Amino acid sequence: MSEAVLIETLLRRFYANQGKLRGYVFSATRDYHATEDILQEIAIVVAKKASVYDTSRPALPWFMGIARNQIQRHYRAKGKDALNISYELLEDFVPMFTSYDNDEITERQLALKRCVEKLPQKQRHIMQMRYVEELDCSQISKTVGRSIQGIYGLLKRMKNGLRKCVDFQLQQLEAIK
Amino acid sequence: MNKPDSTKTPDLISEYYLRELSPVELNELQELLRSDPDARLQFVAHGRDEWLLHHIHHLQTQKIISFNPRKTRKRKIQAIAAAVAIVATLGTVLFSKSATISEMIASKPSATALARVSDYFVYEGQAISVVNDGHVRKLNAASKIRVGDRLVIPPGCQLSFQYLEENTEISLAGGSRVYITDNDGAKWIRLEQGRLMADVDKQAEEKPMRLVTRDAEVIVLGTTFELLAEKITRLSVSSGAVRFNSKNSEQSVVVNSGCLVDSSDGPLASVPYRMVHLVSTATKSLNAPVEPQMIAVDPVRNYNGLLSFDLKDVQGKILEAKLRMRVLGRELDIGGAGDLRLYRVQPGKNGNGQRVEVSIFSGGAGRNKDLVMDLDPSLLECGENEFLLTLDKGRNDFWICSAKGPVPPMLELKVVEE
Repeated sequence: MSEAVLIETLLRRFYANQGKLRGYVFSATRDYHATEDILQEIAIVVAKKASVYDTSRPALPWFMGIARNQIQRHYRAKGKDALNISYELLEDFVPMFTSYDNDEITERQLALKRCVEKLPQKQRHIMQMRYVEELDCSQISKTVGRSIQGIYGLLKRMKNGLRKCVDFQLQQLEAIK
Repeated sequence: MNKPDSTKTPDLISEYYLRELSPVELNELQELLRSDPDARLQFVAHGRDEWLLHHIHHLQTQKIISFNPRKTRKRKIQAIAAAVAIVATLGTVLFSKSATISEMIASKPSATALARVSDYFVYEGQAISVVNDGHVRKLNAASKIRVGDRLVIPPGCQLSFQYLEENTEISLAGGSRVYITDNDGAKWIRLEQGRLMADVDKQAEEKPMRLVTRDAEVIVLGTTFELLAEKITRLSVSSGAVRFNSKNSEQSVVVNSGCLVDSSDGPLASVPYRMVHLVSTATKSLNAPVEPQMIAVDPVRNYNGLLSFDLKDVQGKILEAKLRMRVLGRELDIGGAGDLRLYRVQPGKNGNGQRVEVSIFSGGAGRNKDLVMDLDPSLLECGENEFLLTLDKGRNDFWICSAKGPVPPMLELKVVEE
């Protein structure tokens, strides 16, 4: 097999497992942009090491190993201790779920978008600060003049409400089908 | 071991995605995840919802309509092509091999245009690639920069772009990675890594420009400044005033003209800085019988360069040091490429004796362009500093303007009072 074909084969496998890898990386970093960057880095390493990879071996554990190294690099670059769930534990159970796979995400994403649009203006403003301006809860609390605990509580309530709204919409969609 | 309190499961899981848990809380959550299958299910579902919230807001800022309900074969091929393109460009960053993104994987951009390329240089065989929502394109001098673009600038390459309908100009040094978007009319740039210089027109007060790094945020209403994102973030303001927010310490400071601030530990303080430019006091080509205006660096013929700088008059603490050298060419040369190494050596020994590597440049630099090497300031010494310039085998040799040439090597130092 030529190197180009090998790279393409491995990248196809990478793509097929991207949901599981995204779940693993996001669970460890909790950083959207870092997650997308690390997924890009994994693709680079996969292509770089394609020639030495034994294609008879399962690819996902290899991808997960690369992902773990990239996550550790990410934390080293940030100069912070990684206060995340242990890698072994995440590797143990996150790949068992299909929650981040495209087939599961697509309809959920559309439903979530509709639910977010229904939020009251003040709550949408908080959402904007958290997810567009990427402020943390203490920065949001200073901006809106509420306690940090109040912001944690508000975000948790909003997310629970959004999940109920999404589940309801998906149930309705299922009923129509 | 006590059984974890499962009634706290939703709170701990939810808060894991909102804040840093304490080590005790983290242990408690890990015990829950080990022992309770339902907690694992909830953990993954919470994570997925948090990721989706980021994702839909990210798409919203790009003003791109949500993706197709089903991944089509075309989308899959585009995604793979995107990965291959990133490999191609970052390959040049990482391994300094010539690589170009194939035209076949360049796709038609659909996101709103924000800016146009105003200055652009890539070394032959390299490319500045852009990835935007799975679409990949290669930049050229006539390209537009669009909402949601992720740019990779290989070492030795340069890119400047100017925002449409105003004079705001952003310049990116080689080795930089940025993400560019627009938040309801407010300019927004994430500098993942590298160096960015900005000359910003007056911005509307309610829509300041924001530049974000992993540990800091810069809010701009109109000014000229430089932002460095490496282990720490450093902002140096040349004119105007810029607000700098540290994400780690949650402190904020206004940085005025002629001052800098960085995100390192300790109180956030804006301090005056000055730039010191030292011209090389002596340069020569070791072993090379070439004209005195050039320094030749060629591993095949064992040509190396020797440069000297006298730092005895530099007062204060050096925060940043850059060695700027003008790349020349001989006859049809297009410049040089490869792993160029700079060693500090003992003065007066012609490059022999102990060597301390102070910088490496991996990439290409074109003829008549400046090659810039970042030096670790802690490795500079007071007084005479002599440097040996070598090139690893396997790439194209460098010919550099010497101290006797029209553009001598220059050491640029950013200095603050101690």
